[in-house]
Amino acid sequence: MTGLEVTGLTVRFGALEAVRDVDLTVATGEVVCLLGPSGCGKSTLLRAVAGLEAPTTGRITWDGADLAGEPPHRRRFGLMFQDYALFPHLDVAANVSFGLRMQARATDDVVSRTAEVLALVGMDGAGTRSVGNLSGGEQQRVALARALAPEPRLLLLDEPLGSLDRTLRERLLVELATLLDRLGTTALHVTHDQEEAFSLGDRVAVMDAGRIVQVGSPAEVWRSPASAFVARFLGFTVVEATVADGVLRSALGQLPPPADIAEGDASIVLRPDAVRLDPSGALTGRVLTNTFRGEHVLVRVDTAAGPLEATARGTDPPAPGTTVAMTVETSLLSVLPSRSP
Amino acid sequence: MSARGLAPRGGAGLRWLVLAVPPALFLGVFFAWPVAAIVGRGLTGGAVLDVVTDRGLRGVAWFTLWQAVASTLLTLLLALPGAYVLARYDFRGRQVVRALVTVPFVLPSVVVGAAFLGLLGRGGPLAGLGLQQSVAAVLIAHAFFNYAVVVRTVGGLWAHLDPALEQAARVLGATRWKAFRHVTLPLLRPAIAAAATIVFLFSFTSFGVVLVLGGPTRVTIEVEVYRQTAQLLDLRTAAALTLVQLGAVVALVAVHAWAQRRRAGSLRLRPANEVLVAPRGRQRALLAANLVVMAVLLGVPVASLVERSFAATGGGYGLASWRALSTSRRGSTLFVSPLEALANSLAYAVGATAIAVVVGGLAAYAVARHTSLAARGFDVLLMLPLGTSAVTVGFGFLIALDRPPLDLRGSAWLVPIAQALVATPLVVRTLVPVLRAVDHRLKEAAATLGASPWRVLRAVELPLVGRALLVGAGFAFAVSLGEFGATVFLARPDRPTLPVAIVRLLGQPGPLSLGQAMAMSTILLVATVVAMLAIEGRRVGEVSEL
Repeated sequence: MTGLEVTGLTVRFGALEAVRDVDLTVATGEVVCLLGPSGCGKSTLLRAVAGLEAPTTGRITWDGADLAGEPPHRRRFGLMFQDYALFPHLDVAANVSFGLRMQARATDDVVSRTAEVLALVGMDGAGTRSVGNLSGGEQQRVALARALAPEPRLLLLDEPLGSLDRTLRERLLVELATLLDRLGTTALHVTHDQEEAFSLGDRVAVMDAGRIVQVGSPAEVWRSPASAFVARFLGFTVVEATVADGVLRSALGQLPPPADIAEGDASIVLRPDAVRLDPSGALTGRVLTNTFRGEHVLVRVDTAAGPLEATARGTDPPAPGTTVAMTVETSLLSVLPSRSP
Repeated sequence: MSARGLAPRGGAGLRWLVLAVPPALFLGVFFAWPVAAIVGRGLTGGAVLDVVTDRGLRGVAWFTLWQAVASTLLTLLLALPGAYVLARYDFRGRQVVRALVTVPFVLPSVVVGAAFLGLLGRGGPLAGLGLQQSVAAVLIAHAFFNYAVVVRTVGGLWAHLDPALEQAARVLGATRWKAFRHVTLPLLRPAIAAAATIVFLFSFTSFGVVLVLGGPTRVTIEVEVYRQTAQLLDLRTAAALTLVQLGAVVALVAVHAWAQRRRAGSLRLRPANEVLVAPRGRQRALLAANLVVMAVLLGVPVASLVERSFAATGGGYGLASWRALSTSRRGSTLFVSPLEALANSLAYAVGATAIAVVVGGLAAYAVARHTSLAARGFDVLLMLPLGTSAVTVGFGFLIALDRPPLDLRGSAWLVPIAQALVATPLVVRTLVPVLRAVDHRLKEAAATLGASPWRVLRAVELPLVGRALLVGAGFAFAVSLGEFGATVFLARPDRPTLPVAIVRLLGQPGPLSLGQAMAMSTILLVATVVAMLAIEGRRVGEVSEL
C-alpha cells in the first residue's frame, strides 16, 4: 500500500473518545475529504496523522512504514491550520520559508523556492509584507504556500476555507481544487462544508461521533447516503416507512420499493429535487414558507410526513397557507433498510 | 475607539479636568515637589560629582548594578520554566499553586529579609551553608520575591499563546527546541523584557532585603541613602545618590518603553483553558521538577520563618517569642511593644488605603475614559511613584515638607500619605483595565433602555467596577501594611510600624529579639496573605494588569 493508511485508530482524551476505531486510506495522488459536523473528531484524526495527538490504539503508516513514535517534524507532512496559525512575528516570506529553513537548505534554494511557491498561490512580490496586514484570503494563500513550500509527502488541510466569507470561499475553492490537481498533491482535507468536500475530494469520508460512517466518491455519497445521519447531514429529508407485500408504505403514500430492499422497517431519503409541485400529484400539504433560490423557489410544505422541501419552477410560487399537491420522483429516492435514528 | 481617539473637548473636557485635577494635585505636592527638592539639593555644589568620584560610593553603585543584573538572571532562570508549566499544564491544584506562588511578591521586603535571615542565619535550619550576609542570600531572596513577577507577566501571555503556532512550526520540520527558539521565544520576548525590567527595577532599588541580609559591606544605593541620611546625617550626599539612582531608573524605563514600541504585530490570543493540556511522560517530570523548585524556593523560607518564631533559646520550641510581643522591654531600642506597633501599622494602612482609593479611583476614571495624548501621558505620570524607590519618596518628604507653606513634621498624616503614594498606582492599574473592559455596548444598551447617565453609572458600571475597587483597596492595604522604605524615614520613633519595629529588633543582639522579630514577621505575613486571599476571590475574570 502506498500512501497513508490508518488502521483501527482510537484517540481518547480522558473519558472522551474523539476518534473511534477508524480505518482510512489516502492513496498517493488522491485527495480525501473528511466531512462531518463540528465535534465529530475529524480534526483530531487529522492531528493524529500529523503527529500532534498520540493515538490511544491503532496504527498510522505511510508507504507501509509505521509512524508510531515519529515526531511531527520528521513526518514530512504539511498541515494547513484552521485560522492559518501564521507566525505573527515573521513577514510573509519568512513564514513561507520557515519549513525550508528548518531543513537547513542553502540560502539560494530557500529564496528561489519561496518565490516559486508565492507565485503558485498568486502572492508574488508579497514577501516583505507583514502577516498582520493581510486580508483573510491572502492569509489563506500564504498559509497554503507555507504548507506546500517544503514539498510535503501529504498535505493536511484543516477547514482551510472555514473563516472566509461565502463569495471568497467559492473562488478560493476553485483555485485550491485546480492547484491540488495540477501539483498531483496527496491530501487529506477536513471540512464541515459538503460543497467543499464534494468539489475537492476524489473520495469523501463522512464522520459522526468519532467514527467514519461512509466512504465513497462524492457522487456515491450524494446519491446513496449510507445512513439517516449522513442523509440528514447532507440536508436531505428522512421519512420513516415500512416494506410489506412488495409495497413501500409511508406518509408519502404507497410507492414501489427498490429491488434489493428486505421486508420490514425502512427509511426513505428525499433529496430536495425529488419532490416537485404538481397539481396532479397525490401528496398534499399546506405551504409554510417560500425561499427564492434564483433559478427555482424552495417551498416548505407541511405534510402528513412532516415538513418537506419541494422545488417549484417559474416565477409564481404558491402563497403560504395555500394547499398544494406534489409528486415524488421515485427515481431520485433512496431507501435505507431499517429505521435508523 | 482608535489609539488617537477622542480628545477631551468641551463639556467632556471639563469633566475630565475635574477628575484629573485632584490626583494631579496630590502627585504634584507629594511626589513631584519632594523629588524636585532632592534634585535641587543633589545638583548644588557638585554633589553628584563628589559621589561619582568617591571610590566607596562608586563601589556601592557597581554592587547595586551587578547584583540587580544577577538577581534578574537568576529569577528568569528559575521562574521561566515555572511560568511555562503553570500556563500550559492542567493538573489538580493548579489554581492553588498559582495563588500561592504570588504570595512572596506581596510580602513586605522586611518579612522576606527576616525569613531568609531565620533560614540562613545563626541557629537557622540552613545555617550550615554559610550564606549569612552573603551576596548569594540577597540574590536568592530577590528571586524568591520576584518569582511571581515572571510567572504573572510571562505566564500571563504564555497561557494565551495559540498552541497552533508552535505546532505549525513542528509540522514544518522544527524540533521541539527549534519551535521554541524560532516561534515561542520571539512571541514571548515583550513579556520577558517587561518582566526582566520589573525584576531589575525591584532588585536595583531593593532596600529592606539588602538592609537585613546584606550586612555592612553589601550595600545598594538605596541602603546607602538611608545610611547617609539616618546615620551620617549627610543630606547632600544622600540627595546626590538618590539623583544617580533616579537617573538610572528613568533611563531604564525609557529604554524599555522604546523597546516595547517595536514589538511584533498583533497576536491573536486564545482563552487559557483552550491552551491547557494534561501533562504526559516527560512533561510530568518537568512539572514535578518545577513544583519542587517552587516548594524549596518559595515554601521553605516562609515555613522557616514561622518555625523560627516558635524556636526557644537553647533548642526546642516554645511560645517565649510570642509572649514577649505585648511587653516593651527596658533597654530595647524599641520604645513600644510589638502589639502597639501592629496597631500603628493597621491605623496607617487604613488611612493610606482610603487616600489611595479616592485618588486612584479618580485617576483611573480620568485615564480610562479618554485615549487622548493627555490621558496617556497622565497614565505614565501616575505610574512614576511605582518606579521610584520608596527611600526617595521618604527622603523627599523629609526635605520638602518640613517648612511652610506645607509643614507636616510630626503630622500623623505623613506616613499614610507616603504609603498612599506607593499604593495609588496599584489601584489605578487594577481599575483601568476593568473600566476599559466595561463594554461600551452595555452602557449604550442601558441608555437606549431609558437610563440617565447617572443611572448608567449606578446600575451598570458600579456593580461591575465595585469588585475591582475592592481588589485595588486590598492591594493598597497590603502594600501599605508592609511599606518600609518611606515609612522608616517618616514614622516618629515612638510610633513605629511593624516593619520598622522588625528591622530595629533584627539589629539588636540576643535570641529573644530575633525571636520577637520572627513572630512579628509571622503576624505581618499572615495579615498580608489574608488580605491577598480576600482579593483573589474577588477578581473579575482575568482582567487585571497585576
